[in-house]
Amino acid sequence: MITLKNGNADLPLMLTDYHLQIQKNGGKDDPNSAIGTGPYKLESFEPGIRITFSKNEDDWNEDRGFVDSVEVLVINDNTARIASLSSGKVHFINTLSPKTMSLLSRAPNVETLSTKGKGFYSFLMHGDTAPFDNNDLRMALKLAIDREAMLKTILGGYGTLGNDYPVNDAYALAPTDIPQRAYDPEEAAHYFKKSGHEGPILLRTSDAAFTGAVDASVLFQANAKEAGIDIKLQREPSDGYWSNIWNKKPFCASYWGGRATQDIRYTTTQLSTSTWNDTRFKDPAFDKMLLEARAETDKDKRRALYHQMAMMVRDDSGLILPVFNNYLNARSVKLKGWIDDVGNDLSNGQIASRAWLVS
Amino acid sequence: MTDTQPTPSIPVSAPPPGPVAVWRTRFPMASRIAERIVLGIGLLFASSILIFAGIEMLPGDFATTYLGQAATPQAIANLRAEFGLDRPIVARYFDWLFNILHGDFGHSWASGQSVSGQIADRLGNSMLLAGAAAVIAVPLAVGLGLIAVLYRDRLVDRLINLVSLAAVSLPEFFVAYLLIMVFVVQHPVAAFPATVYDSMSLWQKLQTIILPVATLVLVVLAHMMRMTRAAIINVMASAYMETAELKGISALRAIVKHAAPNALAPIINVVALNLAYLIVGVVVVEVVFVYPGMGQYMVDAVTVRDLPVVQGCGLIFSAIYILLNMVADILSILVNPRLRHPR
Repeated sequence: MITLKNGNADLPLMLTDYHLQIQKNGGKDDPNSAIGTGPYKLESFEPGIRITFSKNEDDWNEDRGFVDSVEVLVINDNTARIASLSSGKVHFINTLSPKTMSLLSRAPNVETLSTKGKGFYSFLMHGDTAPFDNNDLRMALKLAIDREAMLKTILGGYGTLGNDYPVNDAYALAPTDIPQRAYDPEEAAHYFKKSGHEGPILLRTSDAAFTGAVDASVLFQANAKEAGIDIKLQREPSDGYWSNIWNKKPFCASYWGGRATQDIRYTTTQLSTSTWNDTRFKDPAFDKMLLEARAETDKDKRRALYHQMAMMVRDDSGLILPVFNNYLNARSVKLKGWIDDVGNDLSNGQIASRAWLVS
Repeated sequence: MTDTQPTPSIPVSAPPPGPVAVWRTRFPMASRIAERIVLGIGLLFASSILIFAGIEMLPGDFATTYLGQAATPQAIANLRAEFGLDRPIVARYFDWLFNILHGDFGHSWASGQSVSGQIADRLGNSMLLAGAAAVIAVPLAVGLGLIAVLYRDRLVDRLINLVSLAAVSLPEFFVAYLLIMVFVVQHPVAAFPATVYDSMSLWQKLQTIILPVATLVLVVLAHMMRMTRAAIINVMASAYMETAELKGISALRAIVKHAAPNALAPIINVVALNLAYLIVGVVVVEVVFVYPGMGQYMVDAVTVRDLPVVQGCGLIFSAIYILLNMVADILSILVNPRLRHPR
């Protein structure tokens, strides 16, 4: 029995979060026993090397867990991962780089998989810090980024365009009819002039933010130059980027993974009181709407609220969101049962439960 | 009253030689070896301080790196307290040193496993890889060096030089990728990934590591081969080698019996350096071949600021370097005829 302080229409969805597990006696006996409700049993765990599982013969669900054993290998090197797959030593590999996708798709016996996800690449401005406390300047920068070029060059086309709000149609009740913001150097120059700001703008970046973040920042810099905006880049060390730069410095490159619902997404990063409000977006009207939408059970009313909230974030906040990235994986043609899941990567983490092998 | 002016009333005679000096003249070789050992231990302590201080100076700490984007101030404070990071650095250093002298490297912060146990496994793997590579590379390098001297400036010498220089000029990861392309992707004959597990027999392990061993042999061969060649040619220029030649013995015999023993010291040094490299410096090869050795263990730990692991690995690495250099020094003393037969 769960008792909530405020209404939450998403509770069933929230309970699907992968951090939550069902264990014997509520996990009170031994939370680290690795005994849950899955189709496989843990055999061995060697951190940084491999994890092995064997089939759980007593699984309650007959519709999953089709192989006798599962082995997860740690292969950090991109080329080694590809060589392992194309030589048939492994059946599935993840985190491919966009550059290698098209090359690998030519290999026989291998299929590349590009799955739409909820994660996004972004540039964050602190709305409470000069010069980013001026919405004309924020708008100028949002218009001064070439999203199409970013999708094509940084992601190799494996992604979708972003519209400066942190939600795409992989979320339930996502707004659908918001006009796509496009690269417009003239409008950007107009807003930049209106903001009255002069001199360069410092953008901090590092490949720790997301793969290709430094290249993306250089591209942004070149785009903005067309609009007469001078962006100065500062490369930061990857070490400690998330503790020293992100959520600390007023303008930096960043990444967010997906969340189960729009409510969790906005509560994490757009609610005024959130610790991780990394654009310092503070709008009491937005906060009120967020709580209202959370308890609303009428789908149409909820959809309308989320539409309004997306518009507020898109037009007023410090979030520049050029692209959502796809998850890039590859399988051997022997591995069947892959499902493009809208949840997280690796078929929402269920690949071992869903896959089977043909000889 | 203080004695400000030394006023010796007795004329100073030469002081009698101290016990150390006596020992030194009587056993020149033993004293030199003892000196090296004491120096090695001192160096090890100095490097333990450097390792500890160096890691302290890295930006970012384990708590913030481990919690990543999800770090709250309270969570960071809790984690720091749990691992004793809030205590002064000097106290932590001496605790660490005390435990290590008792064979306890602590527990990994990231995985919770015993660092000593992990290092034992990984070091064993590294030793296996380095040992297999050395067993092939050292005799091959010295042999090729001798052959190169024997046929100096002729086709064989040029060929050996060219091939070994080409091999050392290619970056190790490139050699590795070439081997993978040919022997794994195009003609699947070799094992890949070259990951070894505890459950494997020695024979299975050796079969698995063929490709990384081949890569390492190609990488270290040229250095040792060229040093052997240069050292022997250097000795060949001396007068006694001319005598040997005039005596009428064969070129091979002259090189093996008379030149090589005097050229051993520099060869031993370069072999020791390469052995140290094979054990601690092959992280790139380990990553490419997915080999669970010390290098990858340490690099993985550095990225998450897993201090006990980084410090433990760092200390083991410096111990190996110091040990191998010490052994090389001692061996060069032992093979030096002038020290072996003191006058």
